[in-house]
Amino acid sequence: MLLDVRNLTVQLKTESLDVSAIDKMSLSMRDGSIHALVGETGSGKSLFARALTGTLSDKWHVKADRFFWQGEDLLRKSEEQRRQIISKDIAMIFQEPKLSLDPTARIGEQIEEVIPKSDFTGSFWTRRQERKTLVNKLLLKVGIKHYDFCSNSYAHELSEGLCQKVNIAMAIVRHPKLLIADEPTDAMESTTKIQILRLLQKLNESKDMSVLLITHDLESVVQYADEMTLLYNGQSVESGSVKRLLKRPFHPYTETLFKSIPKFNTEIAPKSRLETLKGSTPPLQHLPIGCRLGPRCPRAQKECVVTPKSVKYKGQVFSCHYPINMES
Amino acid sequence: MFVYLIRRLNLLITTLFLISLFSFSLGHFFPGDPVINFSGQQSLDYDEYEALSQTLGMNQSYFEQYIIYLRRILDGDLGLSFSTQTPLIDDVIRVMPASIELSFYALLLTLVLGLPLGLWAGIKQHKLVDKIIFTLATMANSVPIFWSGLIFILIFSLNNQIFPMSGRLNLLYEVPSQTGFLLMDIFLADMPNKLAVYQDALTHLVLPTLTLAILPTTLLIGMMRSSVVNVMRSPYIKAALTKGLSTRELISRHVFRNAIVPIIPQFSLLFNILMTSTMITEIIFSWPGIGHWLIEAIYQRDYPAIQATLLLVASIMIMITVVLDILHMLVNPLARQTLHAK
Repeated sequence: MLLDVRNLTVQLKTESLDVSAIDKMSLSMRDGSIHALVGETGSGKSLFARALTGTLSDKWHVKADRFFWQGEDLLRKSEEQRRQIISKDIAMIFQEPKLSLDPTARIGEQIEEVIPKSDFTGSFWTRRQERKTLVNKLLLKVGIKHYDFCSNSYAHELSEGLCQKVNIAMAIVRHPKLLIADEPTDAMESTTKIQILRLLQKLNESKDMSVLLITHDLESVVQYADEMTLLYNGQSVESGSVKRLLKRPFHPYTETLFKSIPKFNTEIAPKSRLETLKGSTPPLQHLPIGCRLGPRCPRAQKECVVTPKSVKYKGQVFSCHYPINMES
Repeated sequence: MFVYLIRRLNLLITTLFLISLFSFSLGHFFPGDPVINFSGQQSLDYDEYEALSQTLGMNQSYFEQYIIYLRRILDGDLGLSFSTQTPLIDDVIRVMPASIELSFYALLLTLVLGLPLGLWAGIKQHKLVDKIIFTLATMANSVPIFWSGLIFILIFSLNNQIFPMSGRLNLLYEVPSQTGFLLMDIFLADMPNKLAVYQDALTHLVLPTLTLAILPTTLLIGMMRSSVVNVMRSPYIKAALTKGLSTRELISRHVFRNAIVPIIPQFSLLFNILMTSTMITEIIFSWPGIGHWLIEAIYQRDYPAIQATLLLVASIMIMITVVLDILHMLVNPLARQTLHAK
């Protein structure tokens, strides 16, 4: 197991507010897989990534029953040790590729500075040249053919897709075991989107690098991810392999989510309304107690005011008092 | 880039034109005869007055008078001083270096103190260090410098005799003036006891430099701090944090440059404050610079001198602003981007 998180709670504590933005969420990842973390906007996907990499500000408090990274408990380590482990093995790319590059430095310089010193073989005098070839190799690896032009440019001179490729290049330079992609294709054209996702898939296969794909784009999840975890308002809903979830979800939310996309819902009659849940996601200040889906759930009953325990059944993990598709 | 330069140059020329127009109008607005105000000559007999009036074009239109005035300025003829009846341009050249020297050291001190302190405070935002630095800076910013200058004199010169009270150099030493910049002059001078002279000149410099540096330093700390806070919040710093850079690398490679670039145009504000503070400081410490000289001129109603200094100081300020703007454009790729977009 690469990553094993149990009952992670992230609390936002300010003078006027004390809420759990992530409430007892669990996630576990196999080595070498593409794992999708899916949820609506504000469901705490990005928050999870930031809790994982330790880049949350002081306002947030992180608690967990288990926080294992390759068998090591990260919560027991000091912040400095944690940062070392994380920066060694985990890399991250963000949803605004242009903004996550330093605007005043050339792309080449920025890639050079993240190349670890151990990658250099030559002496001090040949280092400059060596750096340049390494940068070019990296850029070529992520599919940028005009690497000379690219490394001499500033971030604002490149397109979003190119910037994301540069970010990926910088992420894979240290050969990380896990790449967290936080909505990497948000607001991108579909052709660029496919390029980026294909690139991630290729890197996953060829370099044995696991990818945690944080997204709300179900179609790309179904196409590229092996496993997925579904979040609703900071609670984990269901997780398991994508194919099985699609075929036989146990949680009503999972079913509705897939049904809301016509591509996966073949039974839908032409020109009929798409299936949705009533209401909208509650804001952080007005979270319902118990199962947070409760007020919107078609199957909700009295017991749903108590947070359901997660149940493991046929390789899937779900948290619901009244699951569906259980009969056979 | 070329278009941008032209545009800045246009701004420079327009502003200089307006300043010269204002300066020209002062010659007419000041009390007394415009001929005397423009030329500065006070003891004229009738024929001389007529001749001068002719050369200044007083019987012609204002427009032609202005052209003649411009031509005189460009030739370096700023008129005579009322009080000494010597050409003003010589006086300015005599007193300017002392001011430039003082301002330069103060500016150096400002940069050396202000940038790191502002950086430190910005990185440790809301921590104790930040609070201490920011509180001190705000307090120092609120103290008028004529008061702090006098307090410095009281503590360091009168009560403790560590530093001299006024002037640039002890009267014992006679340094021939060649460049006007004292430290340079000492270097060029042929003297046996150079080290002692240097020491004396430097001790004279300490208090005025400190006094003068207070305001710009606090200002720079404030600017740098807020800029650093902004940069620290930006996504690329968060991204850089996940890339395994150490805090020191992060600050030296990303934070410092990105924080300093946007505040370069605001540096002209520093120069502005420096300029006005110089005048006060020079009076307090009897520093023979342009501020001291100007205030003397104001006391003596030396209209040509006031007019000339106004013109010069304003022109220098405008040029500094324009140069900083162009510099900003050169070092900031983001500013160049907006330039292309226009």
